[in-house]
Amino acid sequence: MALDKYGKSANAGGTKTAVESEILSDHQLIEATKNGDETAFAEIVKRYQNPLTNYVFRMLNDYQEAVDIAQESFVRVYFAIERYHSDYAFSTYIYRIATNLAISEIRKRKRRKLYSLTGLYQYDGDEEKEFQPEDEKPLPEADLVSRESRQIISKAIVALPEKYRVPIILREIEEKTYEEIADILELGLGTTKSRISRGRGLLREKMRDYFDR
Amino acid sequence: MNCREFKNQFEDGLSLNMQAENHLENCVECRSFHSENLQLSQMFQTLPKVEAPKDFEFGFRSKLANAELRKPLSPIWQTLRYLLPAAAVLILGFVIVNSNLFSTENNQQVAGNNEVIEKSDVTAEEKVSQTQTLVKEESNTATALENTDEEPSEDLAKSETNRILKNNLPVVAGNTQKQKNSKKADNQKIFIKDFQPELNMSGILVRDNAVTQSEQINPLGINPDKKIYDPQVNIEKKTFTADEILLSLGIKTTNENDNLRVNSVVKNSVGETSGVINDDLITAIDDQKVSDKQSTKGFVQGKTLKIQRGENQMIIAIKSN
Repeated sequence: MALDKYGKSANAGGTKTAVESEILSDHQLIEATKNGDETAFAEIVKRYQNPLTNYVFRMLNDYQEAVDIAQESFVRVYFAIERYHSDYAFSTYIYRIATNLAISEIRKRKRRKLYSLTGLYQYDGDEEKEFQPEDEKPLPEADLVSRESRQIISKAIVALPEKYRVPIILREIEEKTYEEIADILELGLGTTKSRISRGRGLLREKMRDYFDR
Repeated sequence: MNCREFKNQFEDGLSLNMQAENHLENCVECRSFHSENLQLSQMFQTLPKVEAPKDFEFGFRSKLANAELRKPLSPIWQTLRYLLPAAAVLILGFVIVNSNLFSTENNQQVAGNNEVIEKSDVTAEEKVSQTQTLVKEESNTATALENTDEEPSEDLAKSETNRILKNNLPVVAGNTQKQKNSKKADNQKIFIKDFQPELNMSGILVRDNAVTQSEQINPLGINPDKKIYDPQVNIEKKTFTADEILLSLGIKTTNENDNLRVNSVVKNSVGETSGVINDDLITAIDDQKVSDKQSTKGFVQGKTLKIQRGENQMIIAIKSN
């Protein structure tokens, strides 16, 4: 196995180039990575960097931390690649890792917040600005309203308890199926559905003032 | 269709069938539920997709490199990483506790046994004076050599030998002539070598040049640390004037008609323990009149002092304690 990992030259004929990689499935890319093809893993990173960053950002509402956690997720995948089995879709696997890292970050922040309540630790996490993509066009007046509502919904999501927040984001933003979400969160399908439903209910209550009647 | 069935169908993301549409038209609560959820979904859709920064892969690679640096820790080291500090703390604690025990024991010794301390003080003193002696011996060699030709005073030679014997110094009898003839190189090799001190009239210890040279390598031919303390060695080997000797005993004097009048005696000094007091007139040291102080021969032994105290003439012995 070890020979395989470094035996790139021995496997020269079968090694995929980056261009070829694009048409390969995730599982094929993983196999190529196991065989020592660095470009294959680079392709995986390219495929998942945006959705993962977006996903973690919506959970934390902190862009720098989101990028950090997304990168860390790839590092974990890379080191555990020998142990990866294709029982799940690769996306399920990497989302699960990112979710766990993000949840532990959420809990860390909760602890810090607790400290800040007792005055021992100064933390201004709630004051964080909304992430604005650099290439965003100048906003017409009509968009100012949607911009405001975006900020409101972002804050409302982040304010949800983590057990509802994660499935809601996966469902509404990442547009995963219930089955995928259940796999990612390692929950039963029923539990997943009810959590999403409950999460929606909480959000509806919070957003009621902004809904059109 | 009831409300519950409607909500289930809606939340499953399925498109609403005819029954559901009918229920929606008739049920106010479900209409509101449906409308709010749709608006919520729209709001979600307005959220921009955040993208990874351009240097995302670079950041990932650097994290990977860092993680690889951290990785080579074997399971054994991972365990030791936690055990080692714990062990260090234990050892430190052990050392601290023990050092406390030892220091307590020492304190008890100090309190209970003053003799021990006195003894150890003396030993320290001995060591210091031994060192001084050795230094002085060497520095005096030049002076002493001037008197090489003079015959040693028999008494002094005897007392010197006795002293050395008493001190367990290895003494091999021999004569000066023999010593002079012995080769320098040989002297350097002999570990315990002939030692026959030459003394001049005033009792200055004189050595053969060859012996002195070999002694520079190994003074007295033995380990100097083993030499046993003799309080008189200090005085014996050096040419002192009378007032210098007295000063070294803690007695400050001024010249008065060729005798020395005691001005003050340093507390706890040899002079005080010997019984010298202010206004004593010291006339001689070891039968040698202090008026001889200009003499280059000097005073050496310093065992007794001849004193005039008022009308009384007395001879007192110099005692170190």
